[in-house]
Amino acid sequence: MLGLAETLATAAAIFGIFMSGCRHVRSAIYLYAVQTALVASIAFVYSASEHTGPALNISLAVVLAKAVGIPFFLGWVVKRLDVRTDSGAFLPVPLSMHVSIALFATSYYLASSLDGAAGTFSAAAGATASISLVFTGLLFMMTRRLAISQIIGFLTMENGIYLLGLHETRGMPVIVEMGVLLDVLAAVMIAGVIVFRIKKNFKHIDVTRLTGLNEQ
Amino acid sequence: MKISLVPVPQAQLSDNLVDWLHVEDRRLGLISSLDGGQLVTLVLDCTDASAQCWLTPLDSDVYHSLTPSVPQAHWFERALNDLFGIRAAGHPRLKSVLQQSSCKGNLHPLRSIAQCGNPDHGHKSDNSYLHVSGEGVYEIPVGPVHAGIIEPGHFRLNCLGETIINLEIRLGFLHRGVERRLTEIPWRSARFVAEAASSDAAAACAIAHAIAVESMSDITVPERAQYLRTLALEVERVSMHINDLGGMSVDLGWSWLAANLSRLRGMTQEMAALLSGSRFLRNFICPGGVSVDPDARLGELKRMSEVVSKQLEVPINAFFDNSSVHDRTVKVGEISRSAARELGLVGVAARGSGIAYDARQHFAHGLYPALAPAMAVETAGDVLSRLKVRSAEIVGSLDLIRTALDNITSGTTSSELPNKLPGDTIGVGIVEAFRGELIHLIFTDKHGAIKRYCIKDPSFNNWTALAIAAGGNLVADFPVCNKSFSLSYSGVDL
Amino acid sequence: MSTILLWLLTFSCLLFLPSLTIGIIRKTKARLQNRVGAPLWQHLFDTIKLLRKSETVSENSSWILRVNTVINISIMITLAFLTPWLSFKPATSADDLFLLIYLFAAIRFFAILSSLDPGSAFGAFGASREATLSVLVEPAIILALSAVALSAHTSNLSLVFALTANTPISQAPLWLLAGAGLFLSSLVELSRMPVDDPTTHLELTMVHEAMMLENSGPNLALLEFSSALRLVVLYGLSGQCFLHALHCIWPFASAAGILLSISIIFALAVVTSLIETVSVRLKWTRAPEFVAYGLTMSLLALLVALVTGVSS
Repeated sequence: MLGLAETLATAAAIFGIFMSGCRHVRSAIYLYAVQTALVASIAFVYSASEHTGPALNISLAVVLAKAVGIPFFLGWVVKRLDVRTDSGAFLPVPLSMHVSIALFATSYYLASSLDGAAGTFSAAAGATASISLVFTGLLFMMTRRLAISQIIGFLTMENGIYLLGLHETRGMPVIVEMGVLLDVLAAVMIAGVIVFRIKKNFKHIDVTRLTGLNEQ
Repeated sequence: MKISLVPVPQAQLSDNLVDWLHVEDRRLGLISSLDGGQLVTLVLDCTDASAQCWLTPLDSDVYHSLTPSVPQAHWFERALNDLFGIRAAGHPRLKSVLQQSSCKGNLHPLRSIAQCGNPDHGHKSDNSYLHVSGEGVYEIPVGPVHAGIIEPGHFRLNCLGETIINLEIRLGFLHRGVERRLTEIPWRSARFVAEAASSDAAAACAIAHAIAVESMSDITVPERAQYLRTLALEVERVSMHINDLGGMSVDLGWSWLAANLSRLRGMTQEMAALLSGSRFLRNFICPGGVSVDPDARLGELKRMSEVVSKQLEVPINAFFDNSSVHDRTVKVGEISRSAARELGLVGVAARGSGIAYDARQHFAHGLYPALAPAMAVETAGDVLSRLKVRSAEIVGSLDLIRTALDNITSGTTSSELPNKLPGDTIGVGIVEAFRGELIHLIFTDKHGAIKRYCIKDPSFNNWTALAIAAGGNLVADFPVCNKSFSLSYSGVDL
Repeated sequence: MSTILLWLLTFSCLLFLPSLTIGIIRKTKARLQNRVGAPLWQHLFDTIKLLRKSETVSENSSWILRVNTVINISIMITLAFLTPWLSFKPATSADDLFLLIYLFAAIRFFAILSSLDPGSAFGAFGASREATLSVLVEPAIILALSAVALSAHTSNLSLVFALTANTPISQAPLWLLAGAGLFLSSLVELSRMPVDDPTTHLELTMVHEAMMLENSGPNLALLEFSSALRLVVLYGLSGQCFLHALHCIWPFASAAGILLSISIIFALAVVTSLIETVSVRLKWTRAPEFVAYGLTMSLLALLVALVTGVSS
């Protein structure tokens, strides 16, 4: 039987898959926000059940920073840059969604081989979801054109790694969580600034076209 | 604006026109004829807001076509062929603008009896279509009876799969004889017919008519009447632009937005009713001024214009914020700047393709050009840029309405009209209707009676653009493309 | 006695639910646009009115146009009796999953044939669009139904959709995903927004409506009724999936199931009208992307069915 945390993790992975099928950058950001909120709520479930640390504070901080703050920031960047759709670089968008389903299946077999996940789906569900999120993020970064999508893909991967850590350790120490959170925030801010610079210098943020030299 | 006839011999007409249009800010107003014995070419110069009327006598029913060197002349020449029986030799495709059903045999509605020396002079109307052949190419006939309550027009789409290869437009199913009628009735009553030329732009038509008449007999319009005319024109513009955006939302299948915009359109019609007593601004503007003074209702008008501009914000922002709307409208129905210039596009279609032409900036009507709002110009030339221009004009016009209401002066609203029009004069009224530049051109005979009344609706210039814009797009996107031009059927079928 | 009651109930559902559901969709849409809207039973009134009208048949059409209507409505009524789209059914018959899929395909086949028959351009491109969409959407429906069939180890849908006493909560995601996949696919299958606009007057953008343009009078009435019936059957099927998900979490009495199975159709109708109010119709070339979402749900459902099936 699936526990609450595993169900939430699977839902997060499914929202990740939907995100990989989104052509509209803003919808992708919304789906990222939903997925992150689910991941954050898992943190809350784990810490509440294990009685480790100030559970509510941490998950609230994660929700505020990653599921609200970052999407708002990215939404603002998208509005400023006036980009809307990312039609994908070499894989059609609906197809990349189906590839990520295949990756979801792959991650199940990977997760089953992990220690502690002995063969059953319910035991492997958490790890499956985490690995699937990492794959989805990676796929998203690989198949997308816009620099802003690279950031979203990176954040999804980060969600997956965070979830895997959470799942394997059943709640990380506060200091580690805060450190990771800070790192991610800093990375997103820096990436946002870089995207602005790319736009300023190249007049576009299409990474497939960044190989050509540009004369100022 | 007073203009005089400049004789231009037939041999020089084409070269003169090419030279004239070579200058960026010069335009072709219209090409027509008085009774079939000559060509009349109205050319406009935006730099000093002047116009010239070239008179080219013809010695036969056939003349050398202007279209090969001036593409935008093509529709005018087709109209000349049908209405006057003057044939442009060398015209690439002289198909009829009138249908057989409305123009029986070789009857040319505007040709004078004197010119009809030879009733059977070999003119045949050409109602053929351009057929595309090849494997998998098929034709879709649409209209002239359409599913919605709209005017008759036939579209023949040649398609390959879901892509339109060629669109052929056939209009002229309901020729009403407006231009001829205007020469037959007493000139005092002409305004009722003139404003019905294209009734959704009744105010613009009435103003163009009024200016043309006033310019012939040197009538000064009281300042208050100028304010009221401006208000009427802008209320009409806001109303019709909102209507067009609403129609666009219907075509996009966005019922929430369509419902909101249709409600707001109703409010703008109430504004029109406050101003003129008519929701469609009929019977308000007359030569010499306006027919009624709204007096105290102007306060209510101001309040309503504020409500409308406040309530418009949410739907308009939602419209341009929506990603699916962008999918449906970006790179759909594109008209390049050069094509727009060659075809002499006017109004929203021109400004959406990067051509900065707005008759309000140049030609005097109402309070213009003194009070002309900043021009909204987009460069992409697709459906979205036309929509953007339209919504920017709604905002600009609402601002203008408020400014005009703040500064409106008191006084009389109409001045005396003379008993008859001066003989052998030409009057011209150029107005920026919501669709674009509208021209009314009046010629009087030596007794002061109107001998030729010539109307150039903005749709006259823009219908060809739709045919070009639709090519290469998806069949299912044609309605959106069509709506973005928002053309008048009756305006080109007078 | 109870069998007669069940037959009566099924018959009245078959007769009145389609019109009522369409009525609910239209009424909700009208209310959302601040309009009063047509009466709830307008669809039924229209059907009766059309039945009394005379017919205009294109002189270029053959017997296919007429026969289509008969085939269409008879297959649809058969389907309505076979498919477990309500929680109750008078007789359990051979309602194999693949039989249903092929009966749906047969309806589509004859619909396409009949719209090609009069040789009108609108009907022809409507048919071409319908064929394209059905190729895309059929796998999604098959996969969603196979997923639930797989977990029940039978392809007899009556057994698959029979409410059993103790369903494990771990089945809930499967039912939920399959239901969502079915619902999204049926939006496409039923030519509703955002892929097709059932209220549009623009022939050039039509899919389903373009195929019915040549029908009039009683023919049209039967086709309209048939497509309304198809709507409730498909909504009923996806509603049943959602009900099973609910049953996994909160096991309700089977008597409540009768009421719930009808109300979930109404609920899906309300959801449809919400979607149709706020969404913009997709560009035709983007339609496959919307279908892909339905397919994704179905694929995930299948994946969950496979994984839980392996582990249990």
